[in-house]
Amino acid sequence: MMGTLRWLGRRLGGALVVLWLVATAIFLGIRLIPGDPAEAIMGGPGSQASAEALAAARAEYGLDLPLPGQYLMFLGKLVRLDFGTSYSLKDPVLTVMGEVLPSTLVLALLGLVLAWVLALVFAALSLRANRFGELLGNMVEIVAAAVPHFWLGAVLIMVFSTMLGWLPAVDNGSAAGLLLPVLTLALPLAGFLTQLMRDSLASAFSSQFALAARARGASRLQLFWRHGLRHAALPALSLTGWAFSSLLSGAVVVEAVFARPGLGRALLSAVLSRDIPMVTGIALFSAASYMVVMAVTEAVERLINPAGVRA
Amino acid sequence: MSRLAKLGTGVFLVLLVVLALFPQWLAPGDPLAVNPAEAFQAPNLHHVMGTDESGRDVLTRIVHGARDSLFIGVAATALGMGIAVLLGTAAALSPRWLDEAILRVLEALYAIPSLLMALLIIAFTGPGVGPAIVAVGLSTAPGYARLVRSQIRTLKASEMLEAATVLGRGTLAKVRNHLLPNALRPLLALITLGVGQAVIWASALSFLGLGTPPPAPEWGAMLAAGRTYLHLAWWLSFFPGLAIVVVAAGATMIGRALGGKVNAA
Amino acid sequence: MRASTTKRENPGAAPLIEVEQLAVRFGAQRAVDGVSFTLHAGQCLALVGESGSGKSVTARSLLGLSGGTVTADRLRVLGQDGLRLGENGWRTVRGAQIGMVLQDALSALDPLRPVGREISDALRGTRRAERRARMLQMLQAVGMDDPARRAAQRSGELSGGMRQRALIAQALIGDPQVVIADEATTALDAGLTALVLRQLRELKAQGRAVLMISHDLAQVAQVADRIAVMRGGKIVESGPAEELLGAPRHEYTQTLLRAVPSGVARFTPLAASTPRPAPQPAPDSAAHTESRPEPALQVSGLSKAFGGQLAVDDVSFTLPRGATLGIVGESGSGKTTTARMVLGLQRPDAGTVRLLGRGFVPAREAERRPLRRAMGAIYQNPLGSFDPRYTVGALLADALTSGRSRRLAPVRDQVHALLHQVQLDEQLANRYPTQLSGGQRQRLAIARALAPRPAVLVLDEPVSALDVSIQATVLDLLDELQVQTGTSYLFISHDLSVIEHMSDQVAVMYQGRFVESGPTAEVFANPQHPYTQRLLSAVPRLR
Repeated sequence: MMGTLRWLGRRLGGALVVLWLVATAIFLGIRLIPGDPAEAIMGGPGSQASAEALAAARAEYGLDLPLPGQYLMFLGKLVRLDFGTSYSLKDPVLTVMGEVLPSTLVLALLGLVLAWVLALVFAALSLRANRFGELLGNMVEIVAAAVPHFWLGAVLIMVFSTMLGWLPAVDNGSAAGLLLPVLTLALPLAGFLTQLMRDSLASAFSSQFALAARARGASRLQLFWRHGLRHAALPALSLTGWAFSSLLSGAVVVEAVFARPGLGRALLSAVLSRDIPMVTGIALFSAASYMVVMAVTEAVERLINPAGVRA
Repeated sequence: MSRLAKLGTGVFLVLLVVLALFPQWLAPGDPLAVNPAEAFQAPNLHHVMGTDESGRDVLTRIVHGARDSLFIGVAATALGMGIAVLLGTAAALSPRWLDEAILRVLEALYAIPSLLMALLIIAFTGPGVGPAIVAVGLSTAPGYARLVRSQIRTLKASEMLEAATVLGRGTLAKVRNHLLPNALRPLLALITLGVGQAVIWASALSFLGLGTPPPAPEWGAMLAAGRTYLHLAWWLSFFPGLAIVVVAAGATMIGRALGGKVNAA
Repeated sequence: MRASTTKRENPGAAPLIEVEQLAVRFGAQRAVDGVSFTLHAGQCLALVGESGSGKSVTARSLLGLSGGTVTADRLRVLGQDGLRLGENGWRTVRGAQIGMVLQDALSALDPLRPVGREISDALRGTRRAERRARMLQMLQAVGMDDPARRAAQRSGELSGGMRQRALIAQALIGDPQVVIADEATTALDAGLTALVLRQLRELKAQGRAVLMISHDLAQVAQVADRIAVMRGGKIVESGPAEELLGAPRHEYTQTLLRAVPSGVARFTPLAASTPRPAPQPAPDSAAHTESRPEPALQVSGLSKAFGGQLAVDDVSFTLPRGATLGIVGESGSGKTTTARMVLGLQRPDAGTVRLLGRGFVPAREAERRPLRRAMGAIYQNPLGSFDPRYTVGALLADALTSGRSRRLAPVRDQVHALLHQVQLDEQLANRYPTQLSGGQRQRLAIARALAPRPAVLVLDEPVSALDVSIQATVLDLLDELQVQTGTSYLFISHDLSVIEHMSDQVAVMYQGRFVESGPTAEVFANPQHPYTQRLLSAVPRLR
């Protein structure tokens, strides 16, 4: 019990530090933009913000105060989850995020699950000692490293939508419309996870305990289920935190390619219009979600591997 | 890696460099020359990769675009690797408290994925080639820094260095004769892999409209433009993307051959 | 060669395993080439050989797990024709009819699974509850305390002894008639080795047939009724254990027996290839001590704790010139930490080390660096200590020029002289250490360590990773070099027979302390401390 509480405390503390660092970086970033900070927040230097909007911004962010005061006000607002109002959308940032978040979360989570399933299948298949297996293994590596989301999405649209007409190219709210975007997100990640799983599967299969299991009469399938799976999952599990954030990252591109509404689209337009409050909100959310996913995966890891063995 | 594969990638590298520096040898046309009469031609004998909405030959644009894409990729990798090597080496060789501090900072940076960080940076700097380089470079640095740090730490604790100590070698000699040279080779692999990744990220930024401005023939930008005509003219998106994949795949294979591993960057 | 059996117990009983002209190929390579033997109930046959002899592959072919192409005139396994069994057929044999115990319980049990599951997996076709009951029964039978709790733990959470019992349990739970022990004692310390040997004898008494695979003749002698010696995939000699060990006929068997250091007097060569040296003056005789009065090493009160745990506790000793002090202890006794402190690689919490009368520990590295040429080190696995970018010649040139240059040309003659001294061919100078064999690498390490002509060599398990016959040549080399150069050795090992053969003085280390020390012959003949007595009685010795 104590151990768990201590671990929780450490994770929480770590998360707060990370969030604080990100917030500080944003604060400094705003100040580094040449010109009037109020303008910077409201669309960048030379923005067309009205005088009232600029005045409102100055009041909200306390820009007339000395620098330390501004910093404290900034942090204070964030702690109260007050991210301010989006300049370009005229709505509170929190509201906008709340609207677009579900769509992206669905995309990311489905992508994660699909990537895992594909990776396990590819890893198991690629270990068979035949030409197909080797070919698969090499291809998977290339896909992971060299195929960008925007191209993969375009090609999938070309093939499945334009040529075959099976699936819609643009999101129309249906489940079918979800398939291509999720696949686009999942494939490169699956390629990466496959390599990891392959390595640990291969080393598990050639280990002494695998030999011992076979000497007890285990079949190949049983070997995979009882032994291989756990060992394959472990390194992939510890990278799930990173995987999730890379999915969020990929969502930006995928949502652009498939014209889906979501956090990625919102971030893109925020960046294009230099809408700092929006950018701040999304950045902090991204960092926070990473920490949450890390904590959850660590908990799962401890369940599978309480002794902390390096598998 | 088989001999044939090694030969293949070597040739590929040379070809790439030649293309980037002297595009006119392979594609003598003007990538920016507009010719509305020839717009939207599918791939044929005249235009092996078709023409775009302004009648420009796609192949010519791709060949000329190599320079833009590669330039951003290489520059960003140089920046990112430079920072990564500095931070990673500092962390690996410094006293525990400094190492911990640097690690915390790296972890914070790691919490924001590459593309998001690049976007954040561009939110502050505005779009363009320069910001794209900075954005991609800074966003890939933390991942590589962690790798560099762990490589150097492993070397530092190695029996090889211990044996050198027992033989009476001084710190400077150990670093110069053993630590640095052995750290260099994996670094080379990492840099090669990094260029491949950087080209992809840079094109992604251009695809989103945040990198090289039109009408420059940068591959990502071409793909973005082509997306609108995906149903009409698939070749406008297919070939530029293919070029990216080929470059990135080639870089990955070379990196792998040098002993690197594609990693979470 | 046929290891034909004379059945003493049951003249009429058929062999459980019959193998005739077994051959196993991996591509073009023949790992096993015409091996024949039989196994009978209640008896133990030992397959003895060094690495690459094909003994493990032979054993695994009895389970259909060799991984290569198997051919034989006859391969009968408990009544079934092994040559005709498919994978499903073999699965009925594995576990239920033939069980296997592998070396090193830590790696032979899946670290991510509870031990109980590993064991009950071997039972098939019964319901869950019954499997669990039998598993717990088995754990009880092998002497596990609190079986229910242990079954839920993973192998990493158990102590060495508990792990070993779990390993035996998973091999026996199918109640096999034949048990194969494949290097079952290699990674174990003396106490656990004794446990495993006891268990194997017990299995024999239960009426099972035991096939024991090992490289250690002394251990094999404790269990085997018959021994077959393998080399290069063939059986070169076989026969009843006593006969083979007492009067070996084949040259290779004789080499193996002679190479075992236990009971062999100091400076008597172990390898046939080493010529007997002329009698040398004893290390502490006047001829040595006159010219160089101060001892090579004076260690006093060395202590080190890690995180509250005392790893080394007040260790003191003196190493005279030209002599060898052996430190013997099991893993975790603190011997490596002691070595590292003596070498100045680890700062002690307390204590001093004087090298050739000058202060060495504690001292600032810059101050003691010039002294370092007087002390060298040899490790168990030398490959890690070589810079992978250096050839053999470069390594030696680097050592000869004190790190100034690694070019071979200017120091070629000296490099060749060094290679000659350690009996390595000159041609090897252009190779990389990865291209050398284990024995050659260790010789290279010795050559490099000797280049600056040190007064002391610290050797930490220098021959533990080598085959017995190679070990013999390296130990002989070390003796020869000591006589030539007068270098003192601090020889650290867990292997009692090696220590006994190589050391003038010995110190027994246990839980960080020297529990006993003195002249080797005395300590071994008349151990005073209970731990020493336990250690000596637990380790099987041939002579």
